[in-house]
Amino acid sequence: MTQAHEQAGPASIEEAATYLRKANSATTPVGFVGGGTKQEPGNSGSPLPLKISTGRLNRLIAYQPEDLTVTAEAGLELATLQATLGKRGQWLPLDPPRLKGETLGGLLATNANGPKRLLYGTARDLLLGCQFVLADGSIGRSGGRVVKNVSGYDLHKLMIGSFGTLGLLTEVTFKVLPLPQYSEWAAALFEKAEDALAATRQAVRSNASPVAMEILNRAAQLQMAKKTRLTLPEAPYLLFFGAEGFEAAVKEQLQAVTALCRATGAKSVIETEGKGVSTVVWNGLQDLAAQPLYNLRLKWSATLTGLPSAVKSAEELVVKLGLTDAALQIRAGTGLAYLYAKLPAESDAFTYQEVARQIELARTHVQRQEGSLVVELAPVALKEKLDVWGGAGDAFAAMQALKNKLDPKGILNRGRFLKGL
Amino acid sequence: MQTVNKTVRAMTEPLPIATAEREKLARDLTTIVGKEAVLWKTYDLKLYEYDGSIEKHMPDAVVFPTTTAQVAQLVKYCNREKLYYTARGAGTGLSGGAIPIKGGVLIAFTRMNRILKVDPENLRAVVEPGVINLHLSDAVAPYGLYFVPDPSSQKACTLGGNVGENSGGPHTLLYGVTTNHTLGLEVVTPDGEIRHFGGNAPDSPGYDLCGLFVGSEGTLGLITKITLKLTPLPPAVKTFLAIYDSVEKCSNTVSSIIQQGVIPAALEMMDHMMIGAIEAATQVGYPTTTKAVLLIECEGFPPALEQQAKAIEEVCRKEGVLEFRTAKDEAEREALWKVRKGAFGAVGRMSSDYYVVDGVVPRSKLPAVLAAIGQISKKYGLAIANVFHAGDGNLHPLIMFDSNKPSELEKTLKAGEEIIKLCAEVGGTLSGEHGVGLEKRDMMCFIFNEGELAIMRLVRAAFDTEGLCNPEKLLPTPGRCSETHLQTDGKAKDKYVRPEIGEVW
Ligand SMILES: Cc1cc2nc3c(=O)[nH]c(=O)nc-3n(C[C@H](O)[C@H](O)[C@H](O)COP(=O)(O)OP(=O)(O)OC[C@H]3O[C@@H](n4cnc5c(N)ncnc54)[C@H](O)[C@@H]3O)c2cc1C
Repeated sequence: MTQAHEQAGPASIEEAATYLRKANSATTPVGFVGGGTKQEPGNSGSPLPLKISTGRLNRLIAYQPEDLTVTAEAGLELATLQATLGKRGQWLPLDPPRLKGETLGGLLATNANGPKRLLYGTARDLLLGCQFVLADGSIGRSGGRVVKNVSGYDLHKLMIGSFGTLGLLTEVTFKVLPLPQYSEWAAALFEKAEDALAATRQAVRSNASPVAMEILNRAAQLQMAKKTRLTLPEAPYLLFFGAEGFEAAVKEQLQAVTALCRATGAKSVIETEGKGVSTVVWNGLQDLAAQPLYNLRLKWSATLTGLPSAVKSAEELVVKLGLTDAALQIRAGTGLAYLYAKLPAESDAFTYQEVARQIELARTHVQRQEGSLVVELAPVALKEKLDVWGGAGDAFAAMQALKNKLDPKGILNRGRFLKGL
Repeated sequence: MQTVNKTVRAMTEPLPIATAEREKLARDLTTIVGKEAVLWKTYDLKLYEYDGSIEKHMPDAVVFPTTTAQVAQLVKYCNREKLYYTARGAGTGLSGGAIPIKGGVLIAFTRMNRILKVDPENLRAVVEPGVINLHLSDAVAPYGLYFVPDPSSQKACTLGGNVGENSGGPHTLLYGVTTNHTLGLEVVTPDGEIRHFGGNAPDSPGYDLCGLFVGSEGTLGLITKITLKLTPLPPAVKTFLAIYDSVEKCSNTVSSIIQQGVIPAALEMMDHMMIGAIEAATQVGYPTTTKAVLLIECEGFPPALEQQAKAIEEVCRKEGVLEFRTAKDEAEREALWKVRKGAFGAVGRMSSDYYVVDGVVPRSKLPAVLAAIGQISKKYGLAIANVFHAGDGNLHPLIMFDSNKPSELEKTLKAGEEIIKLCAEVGGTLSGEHGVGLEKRDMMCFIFNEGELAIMRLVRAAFDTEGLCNPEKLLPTPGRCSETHLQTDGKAKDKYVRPEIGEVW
């Protein structure tokens, strides 16, 4: 929902600090905008009269290809950074949906990532340090610009995924990697989700070290085929897997996973041919989450052995809500399942109250098995009827104590994060 | 000694404990953990006044809890009685993290040493904090798995200590250090409550408190259970030794290898002083012109390993390697590693005392920094041997000294501080894996300003509301950084005794 608000575009960290200091003394709630690609997540929250944009804090500060580290202001776009790194044969191994304008700050605040997190990890494995501004305008820093560092608290880890509720990220340093020399994909056709999941569990336990393992249901396959214009094999469940590195190794890794798929009941395994196709498949998987068509995105998180039950629960939810063409993308090697759907408008026969109830039921189910369910995207009318985050158990009081110290007046992104953090 | 800031906790400052009171303390603690789990006689306490660092201070009591509930009761008791408390694992820490610098209760986790669960399908293990690092990898090896972080002290140090310090090791170059393998924690926070951060499943909603706790050196609470990630053992490994007649060529090779595309699993460097010590101890047979060696290990599928080996050998040759050896079998591989792992011991044989410095520099700065360390060695007239995790720029200069010579320890600490300052100046940092603790607390001013440290203090205060949890560690007292020079002299007042910490390699 867009509300009337003032927009500030500081050109320096000090200027950003001044805006915050003033907002804090007036107890004015503040939101942060990077590329404006992710303004929808979170609870509905109260109005944010001031929005601080990092659009002008977009300089590349230091890039040392020989050290595999890069430092930039938080408003730099991810795509720009990747292009710069690419010229030196390197990249930041994070692959969230490619959204025009997405900034490093936004990426970190929402902990965005993609299929390849299986091999490369997430922001917490790649962020070496950061500078940030707290609600009261004080400037903080943690970590550094070297790849190994235990000096002081890792405050940068707190900033990741905190949805701008602890401070404004202004400068970030990442560890980067050489681009893989070779990358290839294959896809296995499965009748049953459990079999595809079993194959995945065995693959990640073997030493084949796949770069990603993604299972798509039919609706997700159709969406991907449409977007990428690829002719994909058809099966109730398609398991995409890939490997990256030396060509000789990649071939062997894929063979190993292929064998596991066959042994676990794959009807057949289709190999993609060479690098070109691989990039298209890859981008297709990466971007699926961000199709404008969808207005509902749910994320289940489970253990690998708990994932089959979470997937089943997701499929039951689809049936109960009658969302026939809901797409399911299972980040199978990691323990995540995403559901994307176009939710019909509310009517007497289809109330969001009931949708909310069903989602909460699914959440209770997965929480009982150490997992969680987050509503990443939903119409405002639905968000008002549920808690998009779920709880944090007995950790919550510690989170709240931390929030109270760093943003005592609670002005940052008020009302949007977990239980009012 | 250190000037303790008296204003901060003037109201709650616990008083030193007299012997009679110590007896009462022991009785109280006994009701929580049982008679066999409390030490309070000076004779016993003496064994717990130091860790692997230079400082020491006696606790008023040592307790050995066996359950989380006991730990929670201990913390509540300390809060009630206004007693300081400090967590201790095996006490191999090199920065003083486990020293009860203001006395109080030392909570030793060595009896909470059960591996609670090995879950190969989920690639997870749940352990109590007192489990020895190597015991975990041994326990999961039958499943074809291992725990990646392998500090050189892994035969002695505990996983709780590893989490406390965010420890690294020779093989953490490729797969990351302890924080990258720690998924969940059960902790007793300083309010005495039991809490769970992170977990078995990925992406727990809320702040990453697990990430904050790893490396917090026991200053935010006590860890009672750890969920760790296990990794499949590699299909094959290949180990090489590259011998150079110049340090510069050797460190240039490090940069070139890192840049060329595939990062090795381990990349360790030793300089001529180190090689001299090793040669004296084990007669490995390095050429007499050897000035530096690189130990390189790669892992992966055999055909890729061949490719990688070729690529690495090419880089070494291009940088002017004197000799390039490949381990032909497991026995040869072990022989190469034995030399690296025996490095500290070899120095111990050469010099009565030595001081391990831990700093990090950008990898491209290695040649310049190693040369500057050579200058510092000359300036202070102290021999310095280098053996370190070159792949991530993590230096470990070992300064050799004789604690019987007057003022030699002071000189050593000064030289160490100068090296750390140098690391900070070239864009590096104070510590790559040994932690800040007491040793480098005041050196935090080299890389953080007062405002930045004030924010870290806020974070600490969010947890340690009473100011009793591992006091005086990690963060300098407010205002410290505005003082013009640092005082390491104070640390050297007591005579230094090198502690026995059991068998390490
Ligand atoms: C010969 C030698 C070689 C070494 N090599 C390496 C190396 O290669 N890499 C490396 O990283 N380190 C190395 N170290 C340093 C040391 O072994 C590590 O820091 C190790 O992790 C410490 O473990 P510990 O069990 O001895 O912890 P301790 O020294 O007892 O404690 C370390 C810190 O952790 C805290 N702590 C311990 N247990 C808990 C708990 N349950 N809850 C909360 N806090 C806790 C303590 O308060 C303290 O601050 C080496 C040390 C020696 C002596």
